[in-house]
Amino acid sequence: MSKKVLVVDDDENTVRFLSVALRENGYEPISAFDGEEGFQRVEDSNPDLLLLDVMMPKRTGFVLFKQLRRNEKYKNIPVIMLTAVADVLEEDESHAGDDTFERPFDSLRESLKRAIVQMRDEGLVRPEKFIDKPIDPEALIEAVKELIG
Amino acid sequence: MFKRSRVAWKVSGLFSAIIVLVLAGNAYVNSLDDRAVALAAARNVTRMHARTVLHSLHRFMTTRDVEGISSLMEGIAQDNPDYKDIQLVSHEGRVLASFAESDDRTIEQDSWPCRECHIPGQETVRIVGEDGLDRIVEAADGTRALSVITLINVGETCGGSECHVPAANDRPLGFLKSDYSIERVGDFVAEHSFKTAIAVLIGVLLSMVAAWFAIQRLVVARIRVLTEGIKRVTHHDFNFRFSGGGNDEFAELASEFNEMTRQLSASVTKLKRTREYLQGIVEDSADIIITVDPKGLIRKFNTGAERSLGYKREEVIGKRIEMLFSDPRERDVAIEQLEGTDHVVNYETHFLTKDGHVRNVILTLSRLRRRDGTQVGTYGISKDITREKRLQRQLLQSERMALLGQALTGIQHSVKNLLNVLKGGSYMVKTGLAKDDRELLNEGWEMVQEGITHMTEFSKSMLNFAKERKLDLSQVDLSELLKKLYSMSEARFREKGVSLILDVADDLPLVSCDRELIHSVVMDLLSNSLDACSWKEYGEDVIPQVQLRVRTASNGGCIYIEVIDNGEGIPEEVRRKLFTPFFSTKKKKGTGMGLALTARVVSSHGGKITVESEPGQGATFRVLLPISGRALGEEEYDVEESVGR
Repeated sequence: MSKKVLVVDDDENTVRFLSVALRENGYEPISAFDGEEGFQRVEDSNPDLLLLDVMMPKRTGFVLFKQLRRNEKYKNIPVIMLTAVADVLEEDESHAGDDTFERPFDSLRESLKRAIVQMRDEGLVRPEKFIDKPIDPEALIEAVKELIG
Repeated sequence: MFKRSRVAWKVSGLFSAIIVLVLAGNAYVNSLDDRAVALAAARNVTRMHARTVLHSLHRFMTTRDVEGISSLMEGIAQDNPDYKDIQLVSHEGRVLASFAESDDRTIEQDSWPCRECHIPGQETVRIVGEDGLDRIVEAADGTRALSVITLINVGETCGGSECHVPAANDRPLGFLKSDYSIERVGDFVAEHSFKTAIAVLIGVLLSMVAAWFAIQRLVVARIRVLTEGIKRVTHHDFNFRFSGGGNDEFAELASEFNEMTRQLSASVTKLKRTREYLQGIVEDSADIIITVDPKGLIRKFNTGAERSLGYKREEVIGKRIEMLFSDPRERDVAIEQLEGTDHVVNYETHFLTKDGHVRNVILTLSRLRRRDGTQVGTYGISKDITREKRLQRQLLQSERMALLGQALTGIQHSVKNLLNVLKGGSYMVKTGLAKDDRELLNEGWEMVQEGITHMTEFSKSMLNFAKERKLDLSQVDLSELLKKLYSMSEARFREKGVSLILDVADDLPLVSCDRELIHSVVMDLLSNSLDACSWKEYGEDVIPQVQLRVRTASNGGCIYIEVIDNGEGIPEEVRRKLFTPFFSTKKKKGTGMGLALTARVVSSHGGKITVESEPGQGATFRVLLPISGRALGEEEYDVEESVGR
């Protein structure tokens, strides 16, 4: 039986091509278009892995992620976060303040960072991986394989 | 010494002249008196001798001794050498006796002294007094003599008719004529006058010297001290005081002078202190303070000016002010402005330093006038703002860079999302081709095309943003426009489970605006609110809703369009960036241009856009548009109270 991967993203196109890529590589894609729906799918499909977008209507990716990590039943499901600001998140933290100019996404980055710090404080395991947009389907499949085989 | 003593000379000279005049007058009167006295003396002597002769005459007459009379006369003449002659003359004019040798033995009837009593042609006889007659005559030798006539009447002693004819009673028998030389009288008078003159001269000289010394001592010397004092005061030596007492006018003058000097000294000290104080303010001011005379020459140049412009004041005073301007025409402009007002305030201009650098300054120029209104130049205070200008430029530059940075990150974000679609699409095309799966191929190709369309739109919106669009203003009926907009959008809202409520006042005025642009502004705001609602997880009993409200502001100057939603709201950090171009929290459709463009359209209408939000509770976007299409004063936008919430 193939492993189930839940793709949660409000962009239909992303969901569509990620599903194609997953199916092509022998996984069973399940899709959801917002955070609320994502949680329902986790409950009723029990996926092996989550591909989770951050900026989403009705519960952001992080809200959903924390909800899962706090839940004994789901806290071990590996999660790959899809974000356009992943590069920022993966920066060496010591360089965080070196930017000459404040960028409009600093607030986004800050809220992500806050969320991560909060999770660490709570003892939650951070997402297994961050993948930056634009998503390279091949690289994503690599990451999925690495996590769940 | 003589020059210095002019006053002494003048006063003593005048004094002397007066003395000379008085004495000379006195001498003249005295000389007249002398003369009269001398003549009277001569007259008395003569008459006394005449009486002596007369006294003897009876005896001689009785004896008919003419010789005796003559010798008597000679005796008198010898004792009194001043007698020229003494003649005994009969009534008929015959000279009976004389001691002088003379051929003329008769006296003509129509000559003196006969004419004194006898008027020619008439028998009338004038009676002459006891003392007889006298007259100054010129003698034959040319000398002057006093001729005294003594009448010889029929004396009582003679017994009258006993020996003389009775008719002779009231008729003189003759007369005695004594000529007494008065040459010695003239000499006496002259000598007297001469002596008087000498005395007067000596007296005058002495009094002149005395007066000179007195004036010198009492007046000139003190005037000299006073002059010296005034000189010292003139040269600002206020320590000078007159010493010495006395209670005359000079002492009074000196005391007044001392008081004046003391007060002057106090005033000058005060004035000096004030001047030093004011000069200090001007001098030590860090601002550039320069005064210029009406010819345009620099007159004053303070330390601030030296420090800022690098010149020493000696180098610029007397030079033309234009040398300090990097472009002298800028000064001309300022001077032109000065014509009307006498003041030019905060005029931005450029000075040139000695070593050729340009300094930015703010110049405040005033005209210097005297009390009577005549212009005496200009007075300029300039603040060197080169550093501030540089900082301002740097700030502007960094603001620009920040904006550019924001824009670039925003663009990068959008591009990443767009690329994501393209990448996905092309992956599907590739997979479709490899598996010969036509459906997958088509699906992928559609995705690529969609990506291309979004990309095109994105670049278009960037262009739009960069391009200034000219407003196509017309009188727009907003209620009609918004009703149309409502009917267009209502279905889309319903589809997403959001209720759209239109609340338009009935009495909306026509608004001068660009219909198409305002349409897209409201459309964008509605879309944003719809997104905000669809992003939120609502509780069971809450219906997601967006309200579109339009009202005329209470002041009547503008209308406001409000889009009120009960969506997820906007966090503070996002609200700050809301109108920044390319900022977007939405990855797919959002270009990050919507609100930036909206804000620009509103401000190009002279309007204003504001946002209020409480995260989780919703947001209110308010667009204020002036009805006239022209920008309003700041306070006219302040309609908070009038907006019923």
